[in-house]
Amino acid sequence: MISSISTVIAGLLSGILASMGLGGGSILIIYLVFFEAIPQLNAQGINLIFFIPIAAVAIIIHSRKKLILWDVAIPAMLSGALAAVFGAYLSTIINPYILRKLFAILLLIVGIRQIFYKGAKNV
Amino acid sequence: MLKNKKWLYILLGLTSGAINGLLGSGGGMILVPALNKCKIETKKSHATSVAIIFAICLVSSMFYLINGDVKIKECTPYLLWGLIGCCLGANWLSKINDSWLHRIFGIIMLWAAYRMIVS
Repeated sequence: MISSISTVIAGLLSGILASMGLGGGSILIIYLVFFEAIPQLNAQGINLIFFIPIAAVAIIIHSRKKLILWDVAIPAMLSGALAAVFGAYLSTIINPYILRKLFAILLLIVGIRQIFYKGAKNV
Repeated sequence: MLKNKKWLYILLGLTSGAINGLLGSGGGMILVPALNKCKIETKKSHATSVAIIFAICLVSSMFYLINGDVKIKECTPYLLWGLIGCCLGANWLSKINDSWLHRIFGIIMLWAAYRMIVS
């Protein structure tokens, strides 16, 4: 299987960011939508599925280095999985437009604080 | 000490999962700073969030598959490279400087915020 250069770069970059917990999903979605002309929803789905094996390998590597706090992860994984069901259902009956904009503002604030992050206490 | 905060972690998972289900992405982005606020160090926050998002993605992707919004073979061109990237990134996480991690993450967040505002 011969991949085009852009496929390679997109895959590599997304894999690197995703494995580091850096929200690498946006990269793949953007690439798929703008360079492969794939519809947004389809691209989101591809990104979700792509993440699964990547995350699985990353989890193995991270847990060997004792970087994963399972005390924290397991309750959140269980509740997260449940909430994902709920969220998926909700998305069929409400328009997430406003929520997306509100969330964007939150990301803006948190993002700026991350860039100027100093020390252990403030986020 | 960590056990007392179990409900907090459950709440974090609920929030992330709901956002991911509703918006399609981004649930993980608030997870890392939230874990940081729980006095969890940066690298562990990032690593732990991967595990949490993994579970959420498993569920979310099932919905997409069932609804026919995606087929598994559409992902295969990217998987090999993604896995290679994963081996690189997962090893870098333990070595990268915390300040840089925050900066890069911040930039990615701003980019995601921009995309959400514009779309």
